[in-house]
Amino acid sequence: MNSLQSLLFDPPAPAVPARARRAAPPTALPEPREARELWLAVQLGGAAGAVDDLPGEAFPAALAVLVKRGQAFTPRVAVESSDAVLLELAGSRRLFGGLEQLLRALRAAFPRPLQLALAPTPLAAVLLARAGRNCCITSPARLMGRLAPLPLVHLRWPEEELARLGGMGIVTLGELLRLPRAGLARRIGPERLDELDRLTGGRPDPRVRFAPAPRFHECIDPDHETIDRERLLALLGPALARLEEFLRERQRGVVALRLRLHHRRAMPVCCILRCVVPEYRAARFAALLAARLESLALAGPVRRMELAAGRLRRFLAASAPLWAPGEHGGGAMAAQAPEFLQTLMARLGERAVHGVAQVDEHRPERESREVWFPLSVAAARVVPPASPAGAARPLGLLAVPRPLAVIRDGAGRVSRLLLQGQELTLLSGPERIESGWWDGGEVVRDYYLARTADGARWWIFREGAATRGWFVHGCFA
Amino acid sequence: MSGQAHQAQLEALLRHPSLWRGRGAAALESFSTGFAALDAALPGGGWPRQGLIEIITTGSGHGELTLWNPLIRYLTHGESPRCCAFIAPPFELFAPAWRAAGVRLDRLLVARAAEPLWALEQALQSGVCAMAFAWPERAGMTALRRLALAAARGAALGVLIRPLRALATPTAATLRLLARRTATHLRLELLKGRGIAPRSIELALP
Repeated sequence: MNSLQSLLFDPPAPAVPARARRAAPPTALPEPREARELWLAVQLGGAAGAVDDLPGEAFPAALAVLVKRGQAFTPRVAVESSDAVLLELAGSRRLFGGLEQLLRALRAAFPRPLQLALAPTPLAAVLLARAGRNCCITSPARLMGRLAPLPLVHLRWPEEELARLGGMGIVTLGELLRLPRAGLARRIGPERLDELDRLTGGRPDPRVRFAPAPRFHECIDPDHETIDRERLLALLGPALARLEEFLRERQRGVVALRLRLHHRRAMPVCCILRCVVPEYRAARFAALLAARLESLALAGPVRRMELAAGRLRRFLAASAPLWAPGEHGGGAMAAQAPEFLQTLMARLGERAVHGVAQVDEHRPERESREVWFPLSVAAARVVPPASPAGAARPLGLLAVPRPLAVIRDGAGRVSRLLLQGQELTLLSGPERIESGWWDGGEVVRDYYLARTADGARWWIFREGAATRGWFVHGCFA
Repeated sequence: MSGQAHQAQLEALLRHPSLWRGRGAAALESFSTGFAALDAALPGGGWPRQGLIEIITTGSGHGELTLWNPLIRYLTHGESPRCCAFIAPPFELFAPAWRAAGVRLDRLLVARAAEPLWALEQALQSGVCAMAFAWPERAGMTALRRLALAAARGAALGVLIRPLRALATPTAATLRLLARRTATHLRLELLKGRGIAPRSIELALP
């Protein structure tokens, strides 16, 4: 581990001369067991005290940068104080090909003025970093030896407490920890004792993982107002890239994205993008926004764009299909269907694309149902019995039944039915459909299969209620 | 198993449309139409697997969709089912009828598009749809070529259902048929197709 240390950190003043180290007997104690947790403290501003000359404003921003960089290495990043960030590395060692590789990458990410210290407990790591000791302790057994010479001042306890301890002749951690426990508890109080226990690993020290802002929201102000959609899209590009980064960091996707375009005088225009499955790729968002912007009516030049992502969703990134569509009958439908639907919805509107499902119902207009988000698993859940055999049903149904022109003879009986000026001949029927008296949508109808002179077949009905009107309802397309 | 049965099996395999045995022209990849008379009349022995087909009718109700039922049924049930899209149909799809025809409803997709040609192109090239139907008001030669390209890209079959006046314009479609329902049959006139002479056939629709 010492070689590792010299590789990655400032060469420490060797406590033991190099020759003496080499002279260690070959039957030395076995390498101590590695700690279960390894905490790396990243300390801003070098040695303790040096942080004070930074303006106060700089802390949060600088810390945010540290946290962000740290999240590239481990999800367990905690903010320790206004000038230090903690990274738990034990879980990431394997991913980065060993601790050595990981530390090398970390040193590159957190360059020189930043102090790094690795220790099995978070407090110890912070203390070592504050003290400016660049060290790399991976086993709890070695921890005490490194902590002992540290001056107490790095604990950042109140001045008078430190002064009191100093009065007793205690200036280093080693001296403090050597005191009898009962007496120590009386002198410094149970909280301090607890802190020391956490420092040495005597007690667990769980850390709250840094929780990033859960929503993405960004405003883009163009240099000059523009109505050019291409230019607007180009301006959105960097924001979308940041959105992708934001989502990647969290391993999440969004299903809704809102773009609000502010004009100088007119009301802002809002366009909402909805995805069928959680999406995170900037290129995909850009393509969808391009499709949407093309059909969006802009009231004037755009002064400001506001991009906001909806709630973050878990998602499972899918692998790209091996076969191109059509190849080897390769449907690849599951993978491509969401993208295809999103493209359609972005341009045509969310409600413009739907699937079809059958409902257990006798009224024809309610027997068929539109399914939003089609081609999904949830599509067909209702499985009603098939319609009675022999009763022909048209493939196409008119949204609203259209009245037929009726020509009556002298006695008031129906003599001819006309559809778009063509006479209808009844081929079969009637089939009585009577239902819905209980929910106010009562229908009593006699359905017929009819044919116009040119051969087209239609599904028409006569109302059984008082009006006795004739309507065309379906088309045997 | 007898030798004869083996022979029959082998013959069946050799008739596979993706096989070219070196004699004559390469077999056009096709799907059976479900009607023996139509299979015999069409080049390749059925509907082409990809491309653009124009069905010309005087209006709705001539069986222009019923004609496709066997193919839609096959495609939506296939081992890697792809969907069948209807771009801006002049009516709503009536689920019971499609179900009675044996079609998987969860593989049907309806797009209410103000720009049906754009949506049709998307559907054809997406690879998600095996078939897409559209009822375009007008479609120029350029648009048709574009659609044919999209169909080739996505290995999909596009069907345009067009009014009679489309007969006056040239077409880039692989096949052009005129469909008209008679008292008992569906009369199909093959107007254009690779290597076929114009002829007319009658199919008995359910």
